[in-house]
Amino acid sequence: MEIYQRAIQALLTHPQTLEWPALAELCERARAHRPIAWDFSLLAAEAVGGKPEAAIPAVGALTCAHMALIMIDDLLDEDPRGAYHQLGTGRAANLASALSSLGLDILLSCKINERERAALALNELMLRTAYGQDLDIQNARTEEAYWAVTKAKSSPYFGTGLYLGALCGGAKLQLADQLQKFGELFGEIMQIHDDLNDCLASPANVDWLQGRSPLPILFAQEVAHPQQARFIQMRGQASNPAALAEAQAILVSCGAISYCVNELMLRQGQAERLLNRIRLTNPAPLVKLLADSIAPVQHLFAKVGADFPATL
Amino acid sequence: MVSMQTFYTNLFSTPGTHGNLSGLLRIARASLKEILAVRSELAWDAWAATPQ
Repeated sequence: MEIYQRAIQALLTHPQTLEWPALAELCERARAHRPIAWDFSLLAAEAVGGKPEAAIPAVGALTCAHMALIMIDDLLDEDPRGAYHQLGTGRAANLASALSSLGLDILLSCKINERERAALALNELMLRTAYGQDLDIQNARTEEAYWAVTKAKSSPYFGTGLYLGALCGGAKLQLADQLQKFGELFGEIMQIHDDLNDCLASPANVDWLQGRSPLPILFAQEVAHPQQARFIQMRGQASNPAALAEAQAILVSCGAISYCVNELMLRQGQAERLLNRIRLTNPAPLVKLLADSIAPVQHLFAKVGADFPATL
Repeated sequence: MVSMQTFYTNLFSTPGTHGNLSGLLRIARASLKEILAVRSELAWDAWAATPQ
């Protein structure tokens, strides 16, 4: 059985999950969803020279944290895809709380030497992200606020994923700390990707409809440019497909997409330099992760007939 | 970190003269259709795991 399936199995056979069908159902559904971030702990364990099996508690704990955070995020965003539509708001919140604690229990009952540090790190992830979520729903509209939200909301998750994987793989604390910093930087990369995706979606997603300010929209709204007023007008009508398309075209022509791409490249360069300084037994999984994340940007450069910079 | 406004000014006031900016300017000159053609790749959606 592969590592991820074994991690899910560990969640399903936890005494509390065995007693609680709704919790078991959520864990079971997680089998079908496997975003790339759930592999982070496995990549980190392998990078520090650990066996893939060592990452199972980290993968299980991160999966619990992820599910809990998404359920809460959906509640905060009133996302029409949210599990709370089936479960009810109160029950969804309660199950999110249970998932958070289940992740902690998985770490505290595992065999690694640093299990208490691992559990503390998971707890810190939940606390920092909750703060980030709260900042996020306040729709702050400045660059400073945007990056503060990203560092609070996205970076801890990716940093903790690598940190837990490193600890489970047998890394010393200093090495785990370095990988956490790398992961936090990668979290910023992921947030920019996420924002680009959401802004270019059609029909308009909740970011457009709820007046949120993901990075491209923030740029088009706040930077002084000839189409700024028109963008704000079209943004207000984003539920209309024609208005959305015009607003998205302005995102391109005012430089908002270019700005996001530039921010991606800056962080890519920082992450590559940081990774080069970390002494890893097997850096290949993380090198590949970085290469995969910048590949879409390279393809975008090719699409518009531009050369991708040799150094970032 | 370069501010958004400074980036905008640099991007459009010095076209083609700075290494990375020339490629970024081409992106700004592209059509929405061209950008959308690579959107699915840009969608590195690490969060798409809502248990439905």
